[in-house]
Amino acid sequence: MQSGVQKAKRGLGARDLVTTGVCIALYFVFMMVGSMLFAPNPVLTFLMPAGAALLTGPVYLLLVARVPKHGPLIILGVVEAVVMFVTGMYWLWSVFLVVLGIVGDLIAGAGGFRSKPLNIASFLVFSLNPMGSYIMLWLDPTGYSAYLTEKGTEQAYMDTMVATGADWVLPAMIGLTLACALASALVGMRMLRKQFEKAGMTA
Amino acid sequence: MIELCDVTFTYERSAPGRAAGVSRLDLAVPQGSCVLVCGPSGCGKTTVTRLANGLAPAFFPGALSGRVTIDGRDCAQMQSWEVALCVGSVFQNPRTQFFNVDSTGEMAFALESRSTPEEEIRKRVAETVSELGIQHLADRSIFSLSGGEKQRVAFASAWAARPTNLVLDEPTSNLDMQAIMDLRSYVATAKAAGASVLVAEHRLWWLAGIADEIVVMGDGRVTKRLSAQEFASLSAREVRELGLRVRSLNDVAASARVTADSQTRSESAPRADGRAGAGEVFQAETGLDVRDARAGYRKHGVLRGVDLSVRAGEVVALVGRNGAGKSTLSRAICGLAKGSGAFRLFGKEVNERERLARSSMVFQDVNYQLFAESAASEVVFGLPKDRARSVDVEGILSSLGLRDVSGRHPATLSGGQKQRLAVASCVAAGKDVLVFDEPTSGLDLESMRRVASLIRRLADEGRVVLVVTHDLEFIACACDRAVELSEGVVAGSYDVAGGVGAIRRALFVDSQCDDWT
Amino acid sequence: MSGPLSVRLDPRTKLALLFVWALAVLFSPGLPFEAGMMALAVVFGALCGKMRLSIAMFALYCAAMGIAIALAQVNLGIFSTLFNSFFLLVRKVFPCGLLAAIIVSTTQVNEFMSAFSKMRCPREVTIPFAVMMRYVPAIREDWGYIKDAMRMRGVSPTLGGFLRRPGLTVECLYVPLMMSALNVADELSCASVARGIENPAPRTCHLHIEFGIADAAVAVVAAAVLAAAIVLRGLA
Repeated sequence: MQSGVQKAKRGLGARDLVTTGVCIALYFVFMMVGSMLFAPNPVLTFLMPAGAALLTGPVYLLLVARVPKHGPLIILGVVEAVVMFVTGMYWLWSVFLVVLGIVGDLIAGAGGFRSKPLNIASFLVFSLNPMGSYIMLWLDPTGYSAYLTEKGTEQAYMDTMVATGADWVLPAMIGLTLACALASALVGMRMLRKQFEKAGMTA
Repeated sequence: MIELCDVTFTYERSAPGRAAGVSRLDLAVPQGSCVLVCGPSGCGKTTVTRLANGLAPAFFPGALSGRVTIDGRDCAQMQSWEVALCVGSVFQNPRTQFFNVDSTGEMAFALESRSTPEEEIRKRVAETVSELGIQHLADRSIFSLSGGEKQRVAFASAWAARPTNLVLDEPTSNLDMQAIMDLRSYVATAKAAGASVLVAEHRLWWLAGIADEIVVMGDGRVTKRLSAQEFASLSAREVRELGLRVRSLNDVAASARVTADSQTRSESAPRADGRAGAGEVFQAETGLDVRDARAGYRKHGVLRGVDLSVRAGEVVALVGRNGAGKSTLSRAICGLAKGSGAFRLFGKEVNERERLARSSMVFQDVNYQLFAESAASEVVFGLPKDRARSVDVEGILSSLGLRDVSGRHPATLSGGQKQRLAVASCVAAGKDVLVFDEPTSGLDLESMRRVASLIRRLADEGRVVLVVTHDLEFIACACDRAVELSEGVVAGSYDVAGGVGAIRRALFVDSQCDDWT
Repeated sequence: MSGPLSVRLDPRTKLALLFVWALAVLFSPGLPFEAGMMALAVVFGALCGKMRLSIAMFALYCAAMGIAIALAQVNLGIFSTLFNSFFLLVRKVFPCGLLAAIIVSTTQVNEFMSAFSKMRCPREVTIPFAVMMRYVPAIREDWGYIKDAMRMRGVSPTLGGFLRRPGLTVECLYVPLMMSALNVADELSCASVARGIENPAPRTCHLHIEFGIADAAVAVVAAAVLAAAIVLRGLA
């Protein structure tokens, strides 16, 4: 009997797609839990990307290890992008998810999805996706402050913020997110080696 | 019509599932008949079902020789979805075969895949629902369904497309008696409608009067073929000697008791807390005493005043319908569920935290409670460092027959080994109360008897052992008493020594169902 | 699954509505406009039989906006910036979030799959998306068992427990969840192949999917909202 599962040595078969879906679900839940630690708190909202990065590493690396092919990471980016966009997140976040999903796929793919440093690098890059909703602060401070203050609301706040905030908040956020992502990826790699490879659960 | 002619199949090494292959197999399931494939775990019967529904080699890669034909067409020439058009499949675990979140959508899935017009789908689903009498299961969220209800829906979703062939792989493993009885009637319906039904099973009694041929396998080969009449004429002992579980619940007798086997007992595991000879001391004592236990979700009371008393060294089966409160009571005893009531352990009043420290459950799906990277480290996982050092890991593992696998990852162990590993961790933590949830689901005769003797031994060492189960044969083997729960209260308590008739009634089994002739 | 007062919409309309809503929020000229969108979402929820959910979300929204407006009256320096961007997030997320919640809870997985199939969306997106929708609620079930198992091992499944024994807690959290996920993935894909998911024919759906009067009404309202957002923003 013939099946897409067998022919899919290069493309994605039903098993790969279902595995991807299950991993996306886990990724989504861990991302939500990670962001929820910070997001509902106005003062800590800028820690959200770091919180999301801190919990999602093992799942991301598991997906790469289980389906070491081109595609799953792009699907992860696209599906998350759709979810984020329709829940009213800033549109650049969704763009970042798709773009970084493709970039992550290419980085991990450069090592045939089996190179540990490249897989970790792929996750580090992908983990920057929530920066999409903050990046305007950096690229286009006036535009972003206009978006934030909706014209008419105290322009003075924004000026102080753009003056003081943009300088260090964004690099700090990126640095912190990368640090958290690295920690998460290292824990994830250790778990994969110690548990999942030993159990024969990686492809 | 399913035909396997001289089929040999070996899995590729990387294939997941790690099932045994089959060799030189001949099998035919004509229209309107039912063939039962049975045999001990690892005999290759699951592989037979996978060959029949095309999953081997399409989904489980491997080398196939011989011919598999479905309705006269050679399976090797068909696409996976073409096989799906004529073979309906039901799998063992109802939790993992659902693609939808609602039951009606699930029943429509196969029809939707083949692009059936929507009016036709609705008509067929409605027909199936009324034919199987599961109106109460239509339009439900699958998360509100019990395992038995899910399996009924799973059968309906396979049957809704009216396939000419049905393949069932250990469909009753996780089911209660009522669900098994319903499944029996569904299979009878399908057979009467002219379908070829292939069932791989450990439990045999529910197919009495339905199975036309019984194929016994061992090591991937057919060891015996019997017609229903021939099978019925075997003595109960001959059935046991084939390594099969009881053919009829009438064969279950209280005298089938399993004792803790002496070999393991002599080197029985040292109690981690050093209380040597605890067994003798506690033997006659009341180990666990529960008074007026109440618990529930919101306003709906699940336990409404349970009184239960269990001696140390006694094995008590908890029986009752789904929703009778068995699992809530187990969780309350282990200190996991919030509730009220007085709980005493060995005469001393204990609160939730103490109960949590001194008792443990062994889940039906034991995978949830295995965390470590090797069997040896699993035994002491979670224990404080100083306590972990004082545990005789080697001794505990070898007393449970796990010495050879101490370095392996828990996920690579067989179901029975995983279960014993979970027990090992309870022994190491010095737990006094053990609650097993359906410990015999999907087990063959030998494994079932091994679990029974393990449970006897744990009790003989002075522990309180409770077993939530629907398995009458197992109750007769391993338990002293069965306590029936109904609507959140204890409805009856039956000594196994006094005969299994009352327990059988408590499990809701009709007596007319197991006549093979 | 839905209340007595329920309108059935084409799942494609629902998806389109979500996108239009997200765009409208993006172009929105200000808080009053978004509050109006929120109110429309509540009406939509009521029509779809999700009254309680809608009212609860609306109450939460009003409370958050009340606090935001109150805080806007005082100058807290850098914190004002933080508060501002946080409440902006809340402001924009709620109208879409409520709509998404209503749509997800009133649309079945096979409706989505059939709609995607009708829109010629590739299977590479349809299948993972459907599996995700199905598996997210199952994770909660798994977590219930894992939490019990952790507590019986003396590992506390809380933030405090994590701080006390981080390595152990992390392992307890991820290992069974991910192991179980991989098992589910295997068995689920096996079951779906056995039921013909690889069939190339376009998927149908047992529920009637058709662009009807209700869909047209929703489309008109949505288009009007989006147009208003763009026009009002241009005027401001």
